[in-house]
Amino acid sequence: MSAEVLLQATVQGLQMGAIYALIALSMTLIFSVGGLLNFAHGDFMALAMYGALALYQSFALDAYAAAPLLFFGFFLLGFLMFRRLVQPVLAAGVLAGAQLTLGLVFVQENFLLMVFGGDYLSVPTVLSNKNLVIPPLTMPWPLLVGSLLAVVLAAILYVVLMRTDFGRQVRAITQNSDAAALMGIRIDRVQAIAFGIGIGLLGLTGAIIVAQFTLTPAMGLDFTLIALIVMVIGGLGSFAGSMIAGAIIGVSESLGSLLYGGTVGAMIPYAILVLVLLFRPHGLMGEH
Amino acid sequence: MHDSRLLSSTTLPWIAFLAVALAPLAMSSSWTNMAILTLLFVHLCIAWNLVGGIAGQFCIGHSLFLAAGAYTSTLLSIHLGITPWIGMFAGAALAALIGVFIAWLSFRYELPPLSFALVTIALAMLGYLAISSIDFLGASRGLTLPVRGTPAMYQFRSDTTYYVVILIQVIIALALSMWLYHTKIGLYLRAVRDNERAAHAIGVPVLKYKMLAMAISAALTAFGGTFYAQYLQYVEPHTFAGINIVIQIILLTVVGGTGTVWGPVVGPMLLVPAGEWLRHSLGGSLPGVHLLVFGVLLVVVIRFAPDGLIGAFGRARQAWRFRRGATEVVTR
Amino acid sequence: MLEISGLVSGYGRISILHGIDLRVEKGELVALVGVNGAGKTTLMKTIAGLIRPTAGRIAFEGSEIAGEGAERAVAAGIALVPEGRMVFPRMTVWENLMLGGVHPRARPYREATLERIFDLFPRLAERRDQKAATMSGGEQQMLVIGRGLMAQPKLLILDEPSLGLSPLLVQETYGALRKLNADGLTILLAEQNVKLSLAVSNRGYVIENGKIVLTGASSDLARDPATRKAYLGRL
Ligand SMILES: Nc1ncnc2c1ncn2[C@@H]1O[C@H](COP(=O)(O)OP(=O)(O)O)[C@@H](O)[C@H]1O
Ligand SMILES: [Mg+2]
Repeated sequence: MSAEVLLQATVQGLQMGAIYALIALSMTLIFSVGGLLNFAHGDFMALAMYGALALYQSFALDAYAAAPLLFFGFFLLGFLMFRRLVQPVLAAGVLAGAQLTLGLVFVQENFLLMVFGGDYLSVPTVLSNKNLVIPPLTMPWPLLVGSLLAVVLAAILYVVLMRTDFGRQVRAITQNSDAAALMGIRIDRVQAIAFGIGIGLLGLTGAIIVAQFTLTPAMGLDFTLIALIVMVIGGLGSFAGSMIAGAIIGVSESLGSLLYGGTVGAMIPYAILVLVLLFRPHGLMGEH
Repeated sequence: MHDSRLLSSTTLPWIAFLAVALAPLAMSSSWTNMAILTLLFVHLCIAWNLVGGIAGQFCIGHSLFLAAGAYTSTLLSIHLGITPWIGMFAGAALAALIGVFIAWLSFRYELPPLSFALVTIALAMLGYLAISSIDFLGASRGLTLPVRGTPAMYQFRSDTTYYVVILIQVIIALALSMWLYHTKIGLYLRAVRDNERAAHAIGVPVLKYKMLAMAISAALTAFGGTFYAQYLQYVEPHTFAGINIVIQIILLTVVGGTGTVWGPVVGPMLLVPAGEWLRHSLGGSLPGVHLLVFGVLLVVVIRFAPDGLIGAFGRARQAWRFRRGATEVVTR
Repeated sequence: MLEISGLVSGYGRISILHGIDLRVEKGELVALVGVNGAGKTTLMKTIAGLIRPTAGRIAFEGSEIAGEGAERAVAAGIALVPEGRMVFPRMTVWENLMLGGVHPRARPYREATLERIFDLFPRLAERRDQKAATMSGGEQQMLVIGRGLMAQPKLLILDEPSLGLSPLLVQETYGALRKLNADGLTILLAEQNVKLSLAVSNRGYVIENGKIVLTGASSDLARDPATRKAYLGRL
């Protein structure tokens, strides 16, 4: 196997890793809201991808132009959903919350199946099927742009969480919600906004990576699992950890399938997850 | 007074269950298939509930046990001509072994609840991917059982016989789960669920009981897997090793009420027929619409009764008693 | 300023407070003393809006705040420094303090208040960027008092600030409270430590089994054998 092919696979893995990291960070944000493990995470993103498809089909709107629209739409969806659905269930315990999101997997997958059918679909964009060639590398533009935007968005999210009053309020609620209430923080509202941002980010992410993927109604679960893996391996709430974990998963998946075939490539992230959970339960960079 | 309470707490639900479960025998054969599917899910939910509900370990790895039961009995039948009546025990043993290993892992590494869920999901995915790629196991195409057509080989001419087999399995599983719940074992398991550390501190052998719960739950699930494989006479990874079926099992149990004896019975008995009915009445119109309605139904139940229908029923009954008690005081 | 009457409160269906009457006038430093389990924390949390009372009134500067939630209490100008510190452990001293002043009522004055707090507790200024979890108990106590002050309270409520502190640190904490009160801040202080709290306060209440059993000027209470009896009665 030539060095060029390995390099190519590594670069592609890193780019996928950046996207994984962004999805994992939005999952972490949602997890920080009352400990909700969102099994429907990837399904929200799948919904956004189909949303981009619908906007293209109805208004010839390019997915990249639709991205802000999808962000706000999904923010609203998340905000309302938290108020009406998630919060009351979460009050009964984090396990009930996780079970609710399992139900949402069911709802969303079948909603997509009903509206769009079960066939593989793709969304044409300005960047589709175009490559950037920098010998010896050939990089698909959608993946390149998607990964760069993912890094930028992740950095913005990090700054919002670490450096703004809003971010401090979110973290305060995670660390001690009674004390947060004593600061006059409106816990319900901050949590609903944080959840909305998490879902909104999925809307945005779906739009900026849609050109790289073929759509099927059941695609969400794979993304959920990858996000879980990256979130756990990176250490909950660690920005650098998520980036590194995303890179590890992306590269090992890509090299694994190159060297040993697709199945082994797909198995590697899960094997890594089991090992990390057993031997570094707080992740690579997580705080205890 | 004492007798009537006994009647209402144990006997009455059994009578109700058997009445509903036996009803399909009196109906046309088109109902039998639905009844079999329903009872299969009752069986699987009872099995999952032992670990996921009563012992409070949010396990998403039960597809491994289902696959162990389905594949072991099928392979033994195909290659060695061993009847699934024996193969089912081999499958159950294998499943129990895997279950004990998982329980040991979680104890040895002190996995917190959500990490435990993630480990079991990852193991389930590894199992699914492995099965889908190993040719000996039929890879993603699956394996078809040779037609032998004899009851000795777990093959029956009439669906009614399959129905009787799964009904007997469910009765055994239900009796076992009830017995476990009310004996020392169930008490210990619930103590572990409520506070593992405290349970350990008062001398509950936590590891032993976690392993026991997992072994029983895994073996029962494997029996379900064998049954389903023989009923379909076909195994393939998506149905028998995919995560989707575990999600269904969990949701059906949750709707009924996790951690209760009757929750995993009530959930599937109401929702599987409801889902089938939806499929009949809506399925033709749009793909997936019946599953969508079904999913919305699940979400609504979780939203308004996070502790399941059994919990909601208990609360309603208590409120009614309270009201009646209050009026008694007033009239006096 | 604060006027509580007939307050009944507790957890779930269990009542802990059985009809509390208590008032704090502007500029006072009032002590609430009682043994462990008497109901001090329950009362403080109810005033701060963390617990919804089942009966009674809590009037603050004339408006009713009972059962309106913690945000309403902060907006009205009440800050509770809770029992057991309750810092935000994985945040720095500075971040903890900023959160103290995050309410819209306090936000415009944050920088100025921060300076005052650093003057009052120079130790906090030195440890500005240290994570709260890594600080000693005494430093954490200063931090939560500082965090409470960041909310620009008209009434500062402290729940057992001396608990678990060395005598020297207790002196330091109480010195700070005295100074704050002298500067015009109204303070309500819950303590098991009778001697100390009655020494710094103007007036006091003795709480026992969820009821106020004695009240009066602190100097009288300190001398009153009934105070001792209320105490020893439960021991
Ligand atoms: N979360 C709670 N749930 C139920 N009872 C509680 C809770 N917290 C405290 N109590 C009970 O309330 C009573 C008063 O407690 P507390 O207000 O903490 O007293 P103090 O602060 O004076 O020590 C005690 O009997 C205690 O057991
Ligand atoms: Mg107290």
